[in-house]
Amino acid sequence: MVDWFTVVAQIVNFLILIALLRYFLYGRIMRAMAARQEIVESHWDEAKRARQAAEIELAAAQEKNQQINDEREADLEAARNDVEAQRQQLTARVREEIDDLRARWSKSLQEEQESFLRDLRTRTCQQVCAMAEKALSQLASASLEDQIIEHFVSRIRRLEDQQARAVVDSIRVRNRCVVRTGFALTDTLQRRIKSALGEKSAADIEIQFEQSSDLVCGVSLQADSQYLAWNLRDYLTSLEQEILQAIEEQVSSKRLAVSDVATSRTDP
Amino acid sequence: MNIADLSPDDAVIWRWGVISLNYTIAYTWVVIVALSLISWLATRRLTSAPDMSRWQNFLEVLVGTMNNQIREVSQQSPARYLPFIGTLFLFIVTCNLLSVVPGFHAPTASLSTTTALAVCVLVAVPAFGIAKLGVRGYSRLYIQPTLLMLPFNVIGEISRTLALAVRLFGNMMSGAKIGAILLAIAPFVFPILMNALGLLTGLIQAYIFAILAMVYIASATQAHQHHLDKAGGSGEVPPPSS
Repeated sequence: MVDWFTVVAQIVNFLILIALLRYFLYGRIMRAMAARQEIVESHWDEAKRARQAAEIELAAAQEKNQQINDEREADLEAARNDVEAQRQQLTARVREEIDDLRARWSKSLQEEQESFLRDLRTRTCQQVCAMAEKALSQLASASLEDQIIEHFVSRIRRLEDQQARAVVDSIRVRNRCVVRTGFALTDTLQRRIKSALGEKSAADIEIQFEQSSDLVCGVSLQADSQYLAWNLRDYLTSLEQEILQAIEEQVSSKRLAVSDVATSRTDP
Repeated sequence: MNIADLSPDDAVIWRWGVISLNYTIAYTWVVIVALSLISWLATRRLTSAPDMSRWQNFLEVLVGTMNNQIREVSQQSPARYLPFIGTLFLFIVTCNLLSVVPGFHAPTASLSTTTALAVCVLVAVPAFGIAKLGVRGYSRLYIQPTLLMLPFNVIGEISRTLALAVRLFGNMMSGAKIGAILLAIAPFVFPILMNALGLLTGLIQAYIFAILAMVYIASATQAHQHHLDKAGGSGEVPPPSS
């Protein structure tokens, strides 16, 4: 059964309990929870702000890092370009030096070649002439000497060339001359020479006969400063001149060819 | 089985005229003192820091859970309802849990106590409803959907309050009575099992009583909200039906 006094008392008790718990429990606990919630939210906001600041700093750092990387790349690229330019410059300089050395070496080689060729042709000429001279000396005989003197005498008598006439004129003025031969003149030959010269001059002519080894199978007539000769050496000298000229022309053509090739190699 | 086992109302300690101090009132005071003492001790040194006492942690979990339950049921801010609903739950659950203590007579096993709590709910429902909707707005609920439904709505209001009181009383009284009877018939083992079952039943009954009270209050306070929703008002979720 319901005891109404107890019901009323329990209602009062319950209301008192509500008041007590509201004061001791709910209010305090709710305030503590709200305070904690505020702290958590403030920490959360602080963390969010810190995170935003960190993100901003991160972005700035990344941007700076990117900038540093770009600058480094630019520096590296510039350094590469400098190195490449320097390498090309050095390569060009080395190439020039090599070309210079090659040109000098080529020139030196060419000079050596020319010197050698010059020496060779000189020696060749000398050898050829020596051989010819030796051969002619060995072949010289009375008949040959006669022929030589005969040819010389006839030349004086005909006076066809200007040189012969100048010598005769000089003899006529001085009345003396020197006859040199490469071989010993016999009396007969001396007389024939005197006779021929006497025909051209009225006065007596003082003739001095000399033997000279320089004249190879030859004879020369010298009167004062005028000179008339028939000499194998002259022939040999002219022969040597012709040979040297021929070799010189050949060497010149080869030199031109070599210089053309060197120019074509040097050009890029 | 003594007289207090039949009803704690009948075990009178002191009487003066119509005023009688029985076990129901006395043990209610014990519960009030215990709850107040625990609350006071636990909330003496509250801290907002993460490091807190176990009692504070326990009470924060308890209050937080009650807050969430009220918010889920009412779809409103729980601050207004927490003292009433929370005290209902704490009082009932404390009485029911202490019933296993030898010598303690649960006040909730008294029909007077459950009636008193039901009367409190009976008064609280229109009180919260009028506070929220106003007298006219709340009174209009009784003539919904038509004026003819007025007596049925009044009868429904009274009958559900009566059911609230009798449900709690019946469960707690039966638990106490079965425990006493079993103690007389089979004094070993079975009373322990029945007490354990009584703990579970007491916990569930406390939860049911508090939740039903909240549902009644929510239905009274959210009718206006539901009406506004139909008219295109705010978009809050309609209350669960009672």
